[in-house]
Amino acid sequence: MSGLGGSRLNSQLCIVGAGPAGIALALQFINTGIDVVLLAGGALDHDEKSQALYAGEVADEALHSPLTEYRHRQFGGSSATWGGRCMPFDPIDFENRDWIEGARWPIAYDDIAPFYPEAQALAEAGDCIYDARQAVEGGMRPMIAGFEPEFFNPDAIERFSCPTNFGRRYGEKLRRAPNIRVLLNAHATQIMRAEHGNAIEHIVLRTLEGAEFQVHADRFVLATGGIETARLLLASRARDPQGIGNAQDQVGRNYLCHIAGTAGTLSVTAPATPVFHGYDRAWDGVYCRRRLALRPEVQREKRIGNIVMRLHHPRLPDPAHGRGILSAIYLAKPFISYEYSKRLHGGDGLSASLVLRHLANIACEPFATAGFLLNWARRRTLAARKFPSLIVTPRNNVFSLDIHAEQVPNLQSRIMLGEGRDAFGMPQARVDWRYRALDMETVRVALGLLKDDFARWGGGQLSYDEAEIPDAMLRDGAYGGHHIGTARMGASPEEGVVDSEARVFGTTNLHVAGSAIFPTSSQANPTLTIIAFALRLARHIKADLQPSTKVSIKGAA
Amino acid sequence: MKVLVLGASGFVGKRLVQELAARKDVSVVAGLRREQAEFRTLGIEQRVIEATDAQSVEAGLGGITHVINCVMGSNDVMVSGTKVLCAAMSSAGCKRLVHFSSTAVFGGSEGLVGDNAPFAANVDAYGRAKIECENLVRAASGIESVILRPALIHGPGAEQWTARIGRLLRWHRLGDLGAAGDGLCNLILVDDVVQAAVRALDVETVSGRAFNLAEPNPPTWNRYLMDFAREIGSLPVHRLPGWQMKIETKLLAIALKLAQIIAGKIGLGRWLVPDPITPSFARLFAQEIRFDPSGADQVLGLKRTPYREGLAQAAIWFRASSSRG
Repeated sequence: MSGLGGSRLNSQLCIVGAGPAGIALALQFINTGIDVVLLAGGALDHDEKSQALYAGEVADEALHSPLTEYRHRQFGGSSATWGGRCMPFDPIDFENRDWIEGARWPIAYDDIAPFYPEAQALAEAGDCIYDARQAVEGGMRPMIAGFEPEFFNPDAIERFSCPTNFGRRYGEKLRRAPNIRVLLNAHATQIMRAEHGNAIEHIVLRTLEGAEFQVHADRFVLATGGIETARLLLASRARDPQGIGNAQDQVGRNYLCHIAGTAGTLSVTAPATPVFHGYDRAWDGVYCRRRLALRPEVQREKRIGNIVMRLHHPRLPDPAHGRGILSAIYLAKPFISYEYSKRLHGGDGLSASLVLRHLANIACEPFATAGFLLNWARRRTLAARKFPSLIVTPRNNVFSLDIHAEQVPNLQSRIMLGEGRDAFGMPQARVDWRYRALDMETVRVALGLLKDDFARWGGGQLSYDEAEIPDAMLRDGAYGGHHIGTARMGASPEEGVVDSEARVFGTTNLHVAGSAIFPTSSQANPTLTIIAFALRLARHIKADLQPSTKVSIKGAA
Repeated sequence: MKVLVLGASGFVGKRLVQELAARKDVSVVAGLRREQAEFRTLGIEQRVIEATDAQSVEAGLGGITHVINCVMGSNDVMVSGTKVLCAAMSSAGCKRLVHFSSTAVFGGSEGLVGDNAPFAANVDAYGRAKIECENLVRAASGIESVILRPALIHGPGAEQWTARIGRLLRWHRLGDLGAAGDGLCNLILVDDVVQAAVRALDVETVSGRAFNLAEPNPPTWNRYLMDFAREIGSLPVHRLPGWQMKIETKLLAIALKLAQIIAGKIGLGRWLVPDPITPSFARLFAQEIRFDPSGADQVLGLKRTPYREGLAQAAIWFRASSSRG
C-alpha cells in the first residue's frame, strides 16, 4: 500500500470488505473484463493494530461481547474464526408474519433460493440437501429412534463448511485474476457522495502508515459486516449530516443476533433406544447433523419466531456429568479461544472442590479421555475438513438442549456512533443490543411443545424450569458473531436502509452485502445466506456494468 | 487406404488398430516392436518395426499410404523416431501422417489456448520433445500431416489419468484438494481420441494443422477427483490438508520415484511401488489452462462423449480391473 499517498484509484466496481461476502462477490467477476477493486481493512493474517480499529463501546457488557471479539479485521474477514455451520433460511422467514412486528422482506424465498447451491459450493458445504433422509446415502442415523414429534421436524439438518477461511481458500484465485485488484490494509473511513446528485463518488481510505487515498468507481458495495456497515454509513457525514442512507434514521437500527443457549434436561428412558447426536458424513466428506426444527405451521399457530434445537451434552461446569473428557475440556478453558470458550464459563467461580471433582472424573476415565483427545487431534486439529464440535455421549441418555432461535426485529436494538475515536479519528461504534419479550416467548413455547412431544411419545422426559429460560438464553448475551439487520432491506426508505436489490435508499450506486441487509434473523446461522445474497447482488451488478476495455486479460491467446 | 499404426501395442495404438480393423474401407497394419498374440487372433497384419531405425521403418512402410504415429518412449526415441519416420514417408511416397503430439507443448500456460497458440516457453523436457516432433512433422516434405494434441487421456484402459488417479483416491492420497485443486482438469476420453485420429486420416485440411483434443468446459481438478471418487465408491472423499501434499511432493515423491527405478532395475514390477505425486504432477492441479476444441469439432467433426458418461465408463473399467488385480 505504500506509494499510494494522496492518489486516486479508478475502477468500475469497488468492494469494501474482504470477508465471505466481499470475496464471494469478487469471485463472480473473474474474467468478466469488469475492473474490480477489493479492499481489505487488514493484512493477510491477524494483526493487532488493524484489529484495534474494531474497538468500540457496549451499552451492557453482560449482554454483548466486546466489539473486537467474533470479528476479524483481515483478508478473509471473520471466516478466520467461523465455526462453519450452514443452513439456508426457511421459506417462512420471508413471509409477512403479522404476529411479529417488523418481520417483512421485500423479496420472497424464491428470490434467494436459486443462489444457495452455488453458495454451498463456495462455503465447501456440499450438496444443497437439507433433509436427513437424503443428505447421506441410505439416510442419516435417527436422533432418537422411534421418536416422531408432532411439532418439530426431526429430519432437519445442518451441514458444515471445512470451515473455509475465505482468504486462504480464494486469495490465490483473486490474485491471479487479471481484472481484480486486491488492496490489503486499506481502511475505509468515509463514503463520499458527489457534490450534486445521489451517486457515491468515492471512498476515502487510510493506512496505518499514514497514507490517504481515494477509490472512485461506478458501483460500490459495502461488505464490512453488520457492525462496520452501520458505523461507516453513519460516520460518512461530510455531505450528509445524518450519515449516508440515514435520512429516515434507519441505519444501525434493528440490530439482531440470535437467542441461543443450553437449557433443559432431556432423559431418554425408553429401553434399547439408540440416541445419536453426532455427525454423519455425506459422500463428499461434509459433516451433517440432525436438529429439531419447529414446523412453520406451528410457528404460525403459536405466533412465535423460528427456532431449532439440538441434543447437547450436559453442561460442562457441573461435574455431575461424570465424563472425564467434559471435565478435561472444562479445566482447559483458559487455553481455548475466547469465541469458543465463552460458553464454558459457568456462573460460579472454579472452587478447589469443583476442580477436585472434575479431576476425579478424568481419573475415572483415563483411557476414554486419552482416546477422545487422540481422535480430536486426528479429526480436528490435523484435518483439513474439521470435525465440527465436541460430541460426547452422556451417561444414561441424559442430554441438555442446545437452542438456536430467531431474534425478532427490534428497532430499539442499535448500532450507533460512540464517543470514542479510532486511530484515524473515526467515531467508534456503540452497541446497544436489546431483545423483546417475544424472543423469550419463542423459546418458552417451543420447549413446552417439545416437552409435549416427548410426553406423547412416552419414551423420554424433558424437564426445565420456565423461570430460568431467560437466564439460560442470556447467559452468554447476544449470540456472538451474528450481526444482522443494521442496514435492512425494505420496500421503502421508511421500512429499511436498502431496497430489494440491496441498494442504499437515496443513492444510485451504493449496495450492501452481508447480514446487515437481513430484516429478520431466522433460526439459521447467517454465513451461507450472506454468500447467497452476495451472489444475487453480483448477478444484478454484472447485468448493469459493461466490460472495460482498459482491462487486459492475462494468459495465452 | 492402407494405414500403418506405429506404436500399435500402446494404449491408444491398440485401440486404434482395433477400430480400424473393423472398417471395410481401410486395411490396417499394426507397427510394433514385438508381435502380439491378440492381433494375430484377430487376423491383423503385424510388422515389427524399430521406430528409430531408418531401414526398419522404410521396410515397414511397404504399400502403406497413411501412418498414425503414436510411438511412446523416451524423449530421444520420440524425436529421432519422428525424424526417421518423416524421411522414410517422403521417400516411400506415402500420402499422410497423423501424428500424436500432446497439450504438453503448452507447458505451464494459463487461460484459453487455441490450436494455433504459440508454444509455451515454460515447458518440461517431455513438452520440449513434443514441440521438436511437431516442428519435424511440419517441415517434412512431400507428405500431408495432421497433428493431434490430446489433453489427459482417460477412460477404460487409461493407466495414467484413470487407473493411477483411482488408486491414489482409494488410498486417500488424492481427494478434495481445496485451493491446490482449483486448476482445470482437461480430460479427453480415449474413444474420442481414437475417433479424432480416424477422422484425421482423410479429412480435408491444411497440412501441418494441429488440433487440441479436450473438453470445452473442463471441470476443476477438485470436481474431477471428487466425481471420480464417487463413481468408484471411494467415499467419503477426504479433504487433504496442505501438509499432506507437502509431505507427498517434497519427501515421499523422491523416495517412491527411486523405489520405482530400483524395482525396474531388479526386474520387479514398477506397479509394486505406490505412485509418487511429484511436484510437477501436483502443479497440474492448480493450473488454470483450457483448450479451445472448436477446431477438432468443426474440421474433424469430433463428437465428444459427455464428461459424466466418460467418467462412468472409466469407473466401470477401474472397478472391474482393480477387483481382478
